Amino acid sequence: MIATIVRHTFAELVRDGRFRLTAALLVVLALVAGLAGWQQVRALHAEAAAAGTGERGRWLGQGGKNPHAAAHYGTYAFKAPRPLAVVDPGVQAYLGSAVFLEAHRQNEPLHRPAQDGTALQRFGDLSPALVGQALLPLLVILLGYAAFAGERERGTLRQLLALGVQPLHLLVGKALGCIAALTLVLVPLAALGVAAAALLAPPGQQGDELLRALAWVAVHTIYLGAFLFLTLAVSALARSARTALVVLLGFWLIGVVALPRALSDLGRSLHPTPSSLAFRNELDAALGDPHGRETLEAQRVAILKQYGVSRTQDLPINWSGIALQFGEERANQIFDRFFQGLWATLAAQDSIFQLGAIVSPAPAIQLLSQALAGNDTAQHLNFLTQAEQHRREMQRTLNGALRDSKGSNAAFDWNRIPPFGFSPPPITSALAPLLPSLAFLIAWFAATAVAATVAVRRLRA
Amino acid sequence: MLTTEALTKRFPSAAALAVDNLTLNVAPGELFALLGPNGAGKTTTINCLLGFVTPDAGRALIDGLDVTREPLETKRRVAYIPEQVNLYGYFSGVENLAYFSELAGHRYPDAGLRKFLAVAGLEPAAHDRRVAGYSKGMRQKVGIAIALAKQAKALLLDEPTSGLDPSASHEFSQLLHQLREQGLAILMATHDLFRAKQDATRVGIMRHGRLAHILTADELGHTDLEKLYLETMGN
Repeated sequence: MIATIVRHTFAELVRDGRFRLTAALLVVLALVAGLAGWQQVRALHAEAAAAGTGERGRWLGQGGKNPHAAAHYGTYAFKAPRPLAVVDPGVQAYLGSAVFLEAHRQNEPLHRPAQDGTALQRFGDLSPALVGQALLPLLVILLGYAAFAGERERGTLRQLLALGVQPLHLLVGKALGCIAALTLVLVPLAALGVAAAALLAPPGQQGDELLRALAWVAVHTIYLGAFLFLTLAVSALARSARTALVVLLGFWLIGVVALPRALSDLGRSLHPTPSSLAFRNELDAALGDPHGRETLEAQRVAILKQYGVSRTQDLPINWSGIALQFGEERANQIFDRFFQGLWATLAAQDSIFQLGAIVSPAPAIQLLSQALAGNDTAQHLNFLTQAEQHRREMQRTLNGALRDSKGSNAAFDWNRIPPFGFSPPPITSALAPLLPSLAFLIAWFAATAVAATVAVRRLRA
Repeated sequence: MLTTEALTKRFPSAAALAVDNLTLNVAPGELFALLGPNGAGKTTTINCLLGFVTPDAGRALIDGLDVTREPLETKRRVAYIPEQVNLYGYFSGVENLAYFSELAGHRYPDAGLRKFLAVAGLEPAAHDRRVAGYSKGMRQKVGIAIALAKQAKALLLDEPTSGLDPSASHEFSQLLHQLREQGLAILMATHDLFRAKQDATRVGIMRHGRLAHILTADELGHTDLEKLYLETMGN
């Protein structure tokens, strides 16, 4: 019985020229966006690799130089693009992919293509994620809004019910038939993600990236399933197919198009981030605090006493190495306070966004998709943390070398500073902060499925 | 087989009763024709028997089962042809028949399906065409085939011959005769006095939800049905 309804629903959709055209259009759109993304990821990869190699060569070729001069000379940390940026580039374009690592300063990231964009770009570039999250729900609505309401209007529903068909069987059959038709669109999208994970991931990360791609497909399936059940529920309850369509398009417009924008703006107004300039000015004011001079002087007196000398030039070690490292550590505390404050604000904005999933499943899928693609704010900040860790390690090594360089003319071996490599967090820690989003998404699926079941139970011819 | 016991229904929007204390029994092998103007309660009676309308009082029974209590079981025992048979436009006549039959619990080979369509009077050339291009009469024939394929014990017909040309209507009337001979109980709402007189074993004239007259086959033979009908409506 159910199998018959599934086959019939699927055949009816596939024979409908409007479905074929829309589905084909969406697949082409997603694939074009995906292939453009693929090209971009490869280009960024090549760029990052070339820049990384050039940067390393520059660093190693510094010759005989004071280690602190080298610390000022500095080096760049590059973030190679994540493979699943092909399906969801997330915040990649907004948060930068390179940081300059130098003495005394924790810098903000550079190379943010979005800085060159227009305000319109805030609506997002076309990506397979945008197709999956904004346009596929529209396709789901188009293929399901008439499922019950349309049959009621045509009078076929009355004939089906007169046969003794159970409404619940009708619901399950129609849902599965629509899913079968949707699969035709989803498979190319899923294949794109899996291929990106398999072919673009650096060695050692394929396993994690593949897992991410599969989870990406899974959460989108749940998301579209929620839209399907919502559509079928509305179709069963609505007086006419036209009413069902208007209600569903209204929900789409508010829940998928308007809500995420509104949530971003709400997050920003509740938890405003300082402008880049203001942030830098306050940070500089904190760093320039004369309080530091006094503690440094106390440190100098303690060291002189420890070595039993009265002048710094009589010390067996190079005082400037100690002084510089002292300055670094003092500044690091200030950096931690400032940057962690800034990042906490970003996280607070994200939690506002996450709460929006009460109104519509769209915010939840957007956050999950970005996180699984490795391009959410948290994982980007993880790159910045790793880069900063590298900078501090580098300063400690260079200042230590300076401290121990007294009376020696040996040149510093630049290889003692290892090249920077970003190791992305595994999928589990990427998803950990998004468990509420995952819960919201599953709750949406369950709630819409229950709503559809209840709606067909009171199905009237 | 098809029974109503003091069936009563009032729709919230209407002042008068749609069906008023209607008691009726159609036995196997019988064809009961319900005559009456629009709004007399014919379709509401059929809807009560199909379980689409819940009566305010009284019961509708099929094969002794209460329609309200066992909506699925009673629907399985009765086939229904509406005034306007609706089909799925993207599918052919055979495909539509196959779908409705499978949902009614019968899976037929292709030849079996075509036989039902042929018996219902649909010419073979139309079997594989999509029904979007069918005339009303052709759809009605597919509806008849759907009812035949259900192999039900009882048949509910709501103006089944509307839209059929006279010869198709005649074929349908012969078909009804065969089905009645096979022991089906048939309840047919109709405006067609001629067909009612030809086909029915009993005729009921409905007015304001009540059966004003019931005529048996013997009585039908020597009654001017049209005159009686007009007189009933004139009262």
